[in-house]
Amino acid sequence: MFEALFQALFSYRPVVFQQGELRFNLTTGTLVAAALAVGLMVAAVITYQTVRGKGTLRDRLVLTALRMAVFAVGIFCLLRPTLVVRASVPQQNVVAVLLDDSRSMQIPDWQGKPRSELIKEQFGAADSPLVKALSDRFLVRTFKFSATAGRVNAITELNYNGSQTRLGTALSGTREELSGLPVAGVVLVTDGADTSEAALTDALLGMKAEKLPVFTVGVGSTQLPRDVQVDRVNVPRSVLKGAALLVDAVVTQSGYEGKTVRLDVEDDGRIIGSQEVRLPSDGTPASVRVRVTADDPGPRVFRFRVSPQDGEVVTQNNARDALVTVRDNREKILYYEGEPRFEMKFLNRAVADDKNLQVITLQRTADNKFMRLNVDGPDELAGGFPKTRDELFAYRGLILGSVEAGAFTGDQLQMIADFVDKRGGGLLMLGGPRSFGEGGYGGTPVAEALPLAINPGTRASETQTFERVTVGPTRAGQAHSATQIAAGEDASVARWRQLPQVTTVNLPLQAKPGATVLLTGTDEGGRTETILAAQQYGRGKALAFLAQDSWQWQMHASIPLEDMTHETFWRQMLRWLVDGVPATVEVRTSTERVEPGEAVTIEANIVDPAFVEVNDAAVIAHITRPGGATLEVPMQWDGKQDGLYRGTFVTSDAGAYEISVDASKADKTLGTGAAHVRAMASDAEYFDPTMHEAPLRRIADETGGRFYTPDTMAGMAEDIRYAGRGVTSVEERDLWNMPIVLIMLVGLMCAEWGYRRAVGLS
Amino acid sequence: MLLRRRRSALVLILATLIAASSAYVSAQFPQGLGGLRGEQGDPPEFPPKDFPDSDFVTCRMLYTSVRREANGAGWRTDYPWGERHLMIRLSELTKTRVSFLSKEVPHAWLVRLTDQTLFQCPFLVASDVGTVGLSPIEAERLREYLLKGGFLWVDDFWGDAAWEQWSREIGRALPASEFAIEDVSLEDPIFHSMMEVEKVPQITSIRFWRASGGRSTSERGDQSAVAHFRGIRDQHGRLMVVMTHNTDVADSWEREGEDPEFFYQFSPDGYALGINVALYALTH
Repeated sequence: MFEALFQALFSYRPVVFQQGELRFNLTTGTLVAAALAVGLMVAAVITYQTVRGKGTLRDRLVLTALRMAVFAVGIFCLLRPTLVVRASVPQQNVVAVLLDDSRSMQIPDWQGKPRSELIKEQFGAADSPLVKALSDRFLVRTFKFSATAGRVNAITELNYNGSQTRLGTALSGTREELSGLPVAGVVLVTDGADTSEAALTDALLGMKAEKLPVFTVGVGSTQLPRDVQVDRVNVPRSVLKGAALLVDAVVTQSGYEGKTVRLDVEDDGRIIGSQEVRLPSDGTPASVRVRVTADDPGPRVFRFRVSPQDGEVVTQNNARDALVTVRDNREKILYYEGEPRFEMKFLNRAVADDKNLQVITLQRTADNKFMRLNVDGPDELAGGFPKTRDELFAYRGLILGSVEAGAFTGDQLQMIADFVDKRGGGLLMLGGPRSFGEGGYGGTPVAEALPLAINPGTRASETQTFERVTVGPTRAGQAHSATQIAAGEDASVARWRQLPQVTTVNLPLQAKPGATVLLTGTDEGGRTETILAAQQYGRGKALAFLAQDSWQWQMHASIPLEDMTHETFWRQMLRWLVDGVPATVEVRTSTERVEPGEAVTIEANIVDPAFVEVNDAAVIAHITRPGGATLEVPMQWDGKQDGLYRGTFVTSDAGAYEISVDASKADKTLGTGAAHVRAMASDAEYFDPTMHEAPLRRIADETGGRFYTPDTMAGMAEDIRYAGRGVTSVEERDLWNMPIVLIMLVGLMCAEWGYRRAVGLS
Repeated sequence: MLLRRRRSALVLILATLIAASSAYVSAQFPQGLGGLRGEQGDPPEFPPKDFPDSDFVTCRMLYTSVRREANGAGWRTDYPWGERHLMIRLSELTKTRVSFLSKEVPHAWLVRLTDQTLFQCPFLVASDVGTVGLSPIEAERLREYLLKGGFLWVDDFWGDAAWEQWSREIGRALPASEFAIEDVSLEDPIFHSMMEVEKVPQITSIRFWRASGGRSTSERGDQSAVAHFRGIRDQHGRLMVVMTHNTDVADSWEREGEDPEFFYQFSPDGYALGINVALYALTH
């Protein structure tokens, strides 16, 4: 609309003024005429000076200004203004038209029709004004693109089924295709939904280097009228079988504000978690925390799904998949208890049914006398607490019960700290008469790892306190999977309130600045102290649990026999303790999903039993394809980061690929690790399915092109013509005969006459 | 003559009624006719609502006797010094922290199966259980206590009649069809928790030992010639009830200081077994 009006008034499109250079054609005649006009201007001033007594000073000034303006316009015309522009020589230049062939072009939000219809109507029909305008001026070459760009002879070759949109790849590919040809510009017709992770910058640098302007056409609406989308989910790549996860998901919507929908989590069609969410205002993300239990081992695809709502334009973005490797391992945790007490007994009983946890207990019964429970063989812990790193680091978690620091050698205390810091293990210290400050841990390396600050000057001492506290979760604890003991946050908080009191014998300790307090205890005087805190320490995490008799949550008279709170709490705690603890061989892929046929990069971190990185290991990745065929990929140390090995393989069929990595050194096995990756077409095209104007404007602005919508692209051919690229010629465009000049002249004269009439000077 | 016969019959009826009433009263009141006192007259120690600390402590089961056993004293048998002496040795010989009433006297709580405080005490002992009669609610509470993780050691009941009485009563809490009673093998970890126990010791009460001149340890003759160590396991195979039948292990603790000969003959074995059982109860 604006451009049409502009062109009607100024005879030319804005691009002509932007590109052109203004010049005046100064001949003797024009100079004489201009001088006469100046003389008339002086006469006009004198005339209005002489009519004092008629009208006010302000009236005379206004009238003088209007008269001056009339003469100024006249002088401007007499000077023969001209725009000098560089215009493409017709049929001497190529224009590349890049048409988006991805799935998102099927979204029906262009005048109620699929976006692809715009391409068919505007670029597919020979009698289309746009095609005609381009063809009249240029040699048009048409490309389609999704993941890559390719030349097409007819628009019918587009099927709008590409699972990816890679704008950068498309531009770079087209640039290379047109290399050596005179190119006036590139037309990019797309919704702008780039699904690649690569930045556009490199592609734009290439376009700018070759001075190729890109004229972008944004197809689709910038906001869908009615849509619900599962925006993202944060799921760990690998979890222990039976793990209860609290998964954060984000749901966005438009058109359904205030409506309550249910987010289901499906594993192979079976619902394994569900949470209702009330949709906020349009565009505002809604965070949903859904509890999911991973019961089936192996690579599992969890689908987070909101049922399609009435009137939704795009339903494909109502579900989002995440690949999770569910490990059916038995995680070994060493529990060293310094005195026989019921806390150890009931903690062990709580996790006895958990097939994925093995709590190996070293119970000190008397000085230098130990009882070993759940050991794998007669040699395990035969010498008491581990004395070497190899022996200690074989465990993934370590629980220190009521055992004083003096029970360890200095090297063992350092080993425990290294267990967390370097090995990445989980350390949990339990409250008791011989733990924390009372156990003499102040100033030891273990105290450094703990999330609670123990005064370094504290020496081992008898307990000086005995507090009975009611335990409850902090805000962080309410949202944490380890301390959520009932389905849902509210139910969990209510359950905590019902639990019987427990006791503490350790003096209250402050949480360190980087620690998170999850549970607090409130005594009968209303004083609050930390009961459970955690912090990351080096590669691992350290937890402090100060209650000494959580077995009350199992035995107390108020707890029904069938109640599972105590079991749930300790299973979740110990699973959290070993969650994310690395093995000697840690395998991962750069992405959890690739397109079939794409390459996958495998990375593996290899360490020895003491968790020192190994750079000279023999590392082989065994790939099992979806059909069962296997492939061996040797992996090489990357030469930069200690212990990091890389290998690559190319996927073929769609499906899950199992990657098993063996590492050995000098014929001694260091370990085995596994990961999974999916090869399948992505649904990414349907996420954020609106037209993305910002990147399209950026492409146009940085390359010297222009951004259009379907409503404004009629003049695109003319704009390309004056873009000044390719084979061009210089053209002059007169400006004196623009309609705006005549309108201004007439308008100014009428204004002067009207003003004089109004003030009585006519 | 007829009158004399009638008087004799009346006296007989009255005597029967008085005897029946006495038995009924005795059965209804667990303190029996002697009041709530320990075997040697010590006052009972009832626990407060909340225990004063979380250290290890024994609880004595206060039950109702529905029959009499020779030399038996019902629930009070060996209470409180049997467990108190065991607790003292446990605190001396192991790292276990024991809950003390005073500097040298550990707590020995007395609890009914219907008390809420029972559930704060996961180690329960009872003696002379051949006389026990459990009410339905007591049986239900005992079942709940054991299945939650509580541990019960019954001791000092001799002969077949006592065994039958006890096995019937415990069967009301833990039916034999679901929780079978077994003879615990000497290979079981409970015999090796800390001390190496190689046989189930037959320990007699010091009174019987003195009366027999130290020649016999079987208080019921041939019927109790062999001491048994039996148990009931939970669904994970952990012992939750242990029964020392035809032996009075607690007397080896209670009477340890009364006669050096008695001590040397019985107490080392009694303490070895007692400490092992306590450690097992604390760790399994």
